[in-house]
Amino acid sequence: MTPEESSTITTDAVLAEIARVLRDELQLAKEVKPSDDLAADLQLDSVSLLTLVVELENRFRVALNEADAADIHTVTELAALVVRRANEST
Amino acid sequence: MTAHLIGPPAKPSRFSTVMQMLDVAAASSVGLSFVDSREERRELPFSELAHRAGRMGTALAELGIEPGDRVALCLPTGVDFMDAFFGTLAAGAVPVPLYPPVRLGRLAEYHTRTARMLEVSGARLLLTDGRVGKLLGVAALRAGVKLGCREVAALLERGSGRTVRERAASDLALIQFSSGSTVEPKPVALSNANLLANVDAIDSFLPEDGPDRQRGASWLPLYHDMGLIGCLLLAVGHPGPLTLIPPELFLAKPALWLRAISRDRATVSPAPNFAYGLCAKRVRDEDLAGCDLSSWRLALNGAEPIAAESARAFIARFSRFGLNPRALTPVYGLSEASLAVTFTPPGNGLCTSRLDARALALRGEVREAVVDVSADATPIREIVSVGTPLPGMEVRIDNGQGALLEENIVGRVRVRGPSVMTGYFDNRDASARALQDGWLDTGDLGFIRAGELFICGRAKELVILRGKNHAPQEFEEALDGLPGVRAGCVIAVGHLPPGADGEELALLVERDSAAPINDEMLREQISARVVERTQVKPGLIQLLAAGTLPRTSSGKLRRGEALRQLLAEELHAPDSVTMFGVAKEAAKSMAANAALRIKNVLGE
Repeated sequence: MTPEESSTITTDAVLAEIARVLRDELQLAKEVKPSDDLAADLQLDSVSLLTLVVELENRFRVALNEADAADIHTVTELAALVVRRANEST
Repeated sequence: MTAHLIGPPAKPSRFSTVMQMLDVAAASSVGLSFVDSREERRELPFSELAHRAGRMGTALAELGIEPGDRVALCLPTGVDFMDAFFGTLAAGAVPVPLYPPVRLGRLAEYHTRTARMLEVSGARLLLTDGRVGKLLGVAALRAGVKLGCREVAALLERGSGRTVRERAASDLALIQFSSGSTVEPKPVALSNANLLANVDAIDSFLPEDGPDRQRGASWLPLYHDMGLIGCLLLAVGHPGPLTLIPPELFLAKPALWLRAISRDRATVSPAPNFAYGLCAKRVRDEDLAGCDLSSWRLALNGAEPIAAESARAFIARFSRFGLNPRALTPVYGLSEASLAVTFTPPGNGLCTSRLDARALALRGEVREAVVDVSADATPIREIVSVGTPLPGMEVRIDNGQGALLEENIVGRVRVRGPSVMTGYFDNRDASARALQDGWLDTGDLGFIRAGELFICGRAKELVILRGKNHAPQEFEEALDGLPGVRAGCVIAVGHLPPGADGEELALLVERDSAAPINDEMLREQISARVVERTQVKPGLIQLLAAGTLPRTSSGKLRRGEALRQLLAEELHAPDSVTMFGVAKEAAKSMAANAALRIKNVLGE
């Protein structure tokens, strides 16, 4: 997988990558919906979340920081954050 | 044979302080190599590290740090950590490594814990970096850290010359936390002599001198004894190159660890059991193209209960990459003893005993399981040997009241030796409970069999998940106020299910039968709530009828007893009561009697 140029990053691309990581790397059996809550619906524990974050950072060349957690609950919110960070870094 | 093992005599240490040890390492040509997510390297030779530490020592002294002051460090794996750790020692102060926040982690809980740890260690200064520093103000303020929160890089910039204050072997050189509990975090206070004794003891297990003697690779966090003492200080003490991978990078991409071992021809690399399981599961063949693990002689496995099956799965999975099946070396230790207590002799590999699970759970009796293929065969529990005491260390098993037991009987594991702490920092009561006549009560249950130590359970109330210690209250309190759960009627215990990679969280929950919710939904909601609050996913949720959980006469929950009942399969869901009601009652009273008999052993 090659890192993407930040100018091409769309919410859909991030959503697709989140779904891929959850399916391929974390072996999550259920279908992921954008409205899913990372904790309540997907039940991602700390290691799963970290895996997801590191994969997204590498793929989209962004850095999420430790303070970001406060506003992130759902898959959509996480995807929006990645897109926002990607735009900041250009 | 009485249950008392004595390690070989320890050689006197060559140094009296960690900084003296660093001086010798600085004269060598080796050092640290930091790996980032793109597998690019940043090299830090020990000579440069020592030089920076001297400058940092000056900066800290000028800031007002006095010998013996505690300086907390909250930093990811990297050069800043080294500057802060060795710089603090150079200033004659005591480093207190704390864990940094994780991305998407729960901050409110993080602030509370960090503030508690700063408080109980009496930290005068908190060293951090620009990135995590933004989040630490809250905790530093709450804990009243006098000199506040400072960035390492800015301080180092100001430091000049070289300040290395004279310290004695008996002076404190590290405070490490044995568990991250908010209830009562325990600051383990270790002297220079404690640390040097443990480094020397571990070193005596490494092969004889030679160019291949010691090359390390580690992804372990540096705020944890195994990473800090077992990897970093070991590499400094007997100078050898050490490759360091940030823990979060390993968790997301476990192949990085194995690739680093292959690339740097590492000979020693320790990890908790779960890491071996994680690699067996998540690393793909293509991730290891061209890798050769044959240099890895000591794949030390410790810091949490060892599951024989996942250890074997790891060996089976990676032997095609040259992994020596006997490299996997079970070890035992705890932060109160600095780190290591017993090691499996190198080359012995994984040695286990297959025991009668019921005799073990109910009577604390070590009995070889009989091979029986019939349907009602006794369940078997396979327990891994953690070897024999390191030089200078002693291990004994007693009945909980100080009386030494015989071999093959389960009791309390106590250890004594030069690396055992003098006490918890500034906590006389907790220290007196943990140490009697120099013997440390490990809180673990185990037995000695044929001269080797086996750990089979725990008397202390602790859940160990992925090498990290958690207080059970963290999980129990997460369910406060959840409809369908009886208030205060939850027990959290750690257990090792057959076939699992490591200990899992089991929640024993008394359900409120009046709540209009079915069992499946309730389990789902309990799981979601616990993940949300603690970021740990329960492996087992057992719903129970009101009044089922064992309690003391004063009404306090008895976690140890609950775990024994769970293992003896005496805890059932309310629905199953009706059909087997009578049999269950009979079994329960049997279990209660058995529990009474071993009550002394466990000291409840």
